[in-house]
Amino acid sequence: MIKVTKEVIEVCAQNLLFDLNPGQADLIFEEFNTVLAQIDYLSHIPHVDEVDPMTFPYSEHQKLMREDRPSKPLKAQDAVKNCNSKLGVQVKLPKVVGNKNDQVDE
Amino acid sequence: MEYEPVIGIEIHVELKTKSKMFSSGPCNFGESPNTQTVPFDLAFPGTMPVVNREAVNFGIKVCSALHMNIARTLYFDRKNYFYPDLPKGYQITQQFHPIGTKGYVEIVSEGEKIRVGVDNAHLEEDTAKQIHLSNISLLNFNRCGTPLIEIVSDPDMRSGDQAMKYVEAIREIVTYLGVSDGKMENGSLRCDINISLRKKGETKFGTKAECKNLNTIQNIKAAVDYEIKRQTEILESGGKVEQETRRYDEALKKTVLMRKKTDAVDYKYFREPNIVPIDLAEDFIQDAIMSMNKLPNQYREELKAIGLGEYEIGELLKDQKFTLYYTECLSLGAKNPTLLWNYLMVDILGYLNKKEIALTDLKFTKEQFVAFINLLAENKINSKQGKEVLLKMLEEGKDPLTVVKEEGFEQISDESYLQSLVDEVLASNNQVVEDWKRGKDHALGYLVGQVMKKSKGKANPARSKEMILAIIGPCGK
Repeated sequence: MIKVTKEVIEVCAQNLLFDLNPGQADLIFEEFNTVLAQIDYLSHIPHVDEVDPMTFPYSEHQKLMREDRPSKPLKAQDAVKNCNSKLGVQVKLPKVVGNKNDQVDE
Repeated sequence: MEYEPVIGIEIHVELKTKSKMFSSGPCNFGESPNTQTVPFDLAFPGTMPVVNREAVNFGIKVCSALHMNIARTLYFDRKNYFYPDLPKGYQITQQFHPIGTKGYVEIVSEGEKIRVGVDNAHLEEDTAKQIHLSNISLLNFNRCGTPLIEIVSDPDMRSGDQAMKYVEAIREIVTYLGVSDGKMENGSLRCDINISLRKKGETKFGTKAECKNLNTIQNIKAAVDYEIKRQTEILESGGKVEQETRRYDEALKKTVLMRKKTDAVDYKYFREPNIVPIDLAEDFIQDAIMSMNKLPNQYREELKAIGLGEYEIGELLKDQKFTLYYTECLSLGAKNPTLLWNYLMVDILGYLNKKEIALTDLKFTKEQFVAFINLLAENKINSKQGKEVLLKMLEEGKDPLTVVKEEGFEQISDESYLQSLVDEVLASNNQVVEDWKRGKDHALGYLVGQVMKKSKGKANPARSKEMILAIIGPCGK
C-alpha cells in the first residue's frame, strides 16, 4: 500500500484539479492518519480478510428509480466558474496524450 | 506454423435517454460545450446519484435481445482512476453484478452461421469529452454521465469478417430496439477489440493487443486483418507479441502503437455506497421485454421467406426506416417484393440522396407507392413508363393512377388488338423474320420494338413477345 504523505495528498489534489493551501494539506494529512490508524486497528482482528465488505449497515433494497426527465442544465459559465484554467467555457489542461497521433477518445 | 486468431470485443453503446444515467442532466449530442450538465455530472460535493429508470428499461431490452440472463437486483460499483475526463475520480459501473450475463449473437460470416457468446452487459456512465489541441487539451463535460451499456463478448471470433459482422449485428440490434442511434462516427457506439494469436490446437491464449479508435464498421475488419498479419509476422520471425494498446490509422491502413501496457491497472473496485441495491419488479422487466421492437434477425427470416436475396435483405436492414417502409408496403398489398425492393432501394433511395431529404419527406403515401408497384406487377405499365410515373410522384406528389390516365400510359393487353399489331409487323418485316430463322437472335427484340412503336408504347411487351414467338418459332441457331 502507498504510504500517505503530504506529498501524496498534494499529488492527488493536483490530479483532481483541487487547490490546497498548506494548512488544508496538513488537515487532510492528519485526518488520513486517523483513518489509517483505524484501518490498522481493524486489520489486527483475526480473519478479517475473509469477511466480505459491508457497504450498507443493514440489508436494504429499494424499487424506486428516477423518471427520465431532464432538468434545466447549468449555464456553461457557471459550470466552469470554479475552474482556474480554462479556454472560453472549457477546462484547459496540459495535453494528456503523447502526440497528435494519439488523439483517441478513451 | 499455423496460428489461430482469437478476438474478443467490448462495445460501449450510448443509450438514447433524455437524461443522464445518474442525474437529471440532459443528454443532447452536438450542443455547445459545457451546456448540458448539472452539479452531479461535475462531481460537486454533496450531489448523489439516482438511477434513470429508462436506461434500465433499455438495458433490459438489450439483454433480452442478446438472450441473456437478466439480473433481478441492480448493484453498482465504483471503478477508481485518475483521468481528467472523470471529475469524480471514479466511474459508476456494474463490475460485479452486471444487468445481463451469458448470452449470444448469431452472425453469418463468409456463408457460415456462427454463434458469438456475450459474457455480460453492464450499465455505466460515460466520461467527459477531451479535445486535444497542439499543446493543450480541453474538457467538455456534456457527455459526462450519459448512460452506456457495455457489451462484452466472449473471445469467440476468429477473423476480421467475423468481428465486423458481430459489431454490425450489435449495431443493428440496438438501433432496431430504438435504445441507441448506434452512430459510430458520433461515438455513440464505440468498440475496443482484443486480438491475440495462438498455435492452432492450443487452448491457452496468446498475448493480446487492444485496438481502439474504430469509427466505422469497415475499419473493424481492416484493423483486425492488419493486426492478425502483424502478429503472425512477429511470431513467425521468432519474436514475441507485446501487450499494448493500438489504434487504427485510416490513412496508413494499419494499426499503430498508442502505448505499451505493463501490469493491469488496479481500479480498486468497490460497491457504490450511494446507490442502495434496486430490486426490479417482475412486471417492469416483462413490460420492457414485451414492448421490444422487432429485431433484425426476425425481419431477416421473414424477408427470406418471401424470396428476397441475401444482398437485398442486407441492404434493407442497414436502415430500420427503410425496413419498416418496405414491410408496411408489403402489408398494404404490394404484389411483387423484388419490384418493391428495386424501386425503393434504387430509385427512391437515389432520389432521396440526391435531394438530401428523408423518407418522411416523400410527397406520396405508402398506399400510392403500393398502387404504383402493382401497376408494374400486373403489367399495366412497362418499366419505362414506370420511371416516368415515379418521377411525377416524386416531384409533384401525383397519384400514380392519375399519372397513368393523364399520360395515356395504360398498357394494352387486349389479345385481338395485340394480335393485329403482331400480324402487321411480321407482314412488313419478312427479311427480319428470315434473319431470325437463320439464327440472328437480336431480330426478336427488333420485332417487339416495332409492335411497341405501333402501339405508341402501350402494348404489353411480354405478351407481344410471346405472340411473335408463337408465329415465328424458335431461333434458327
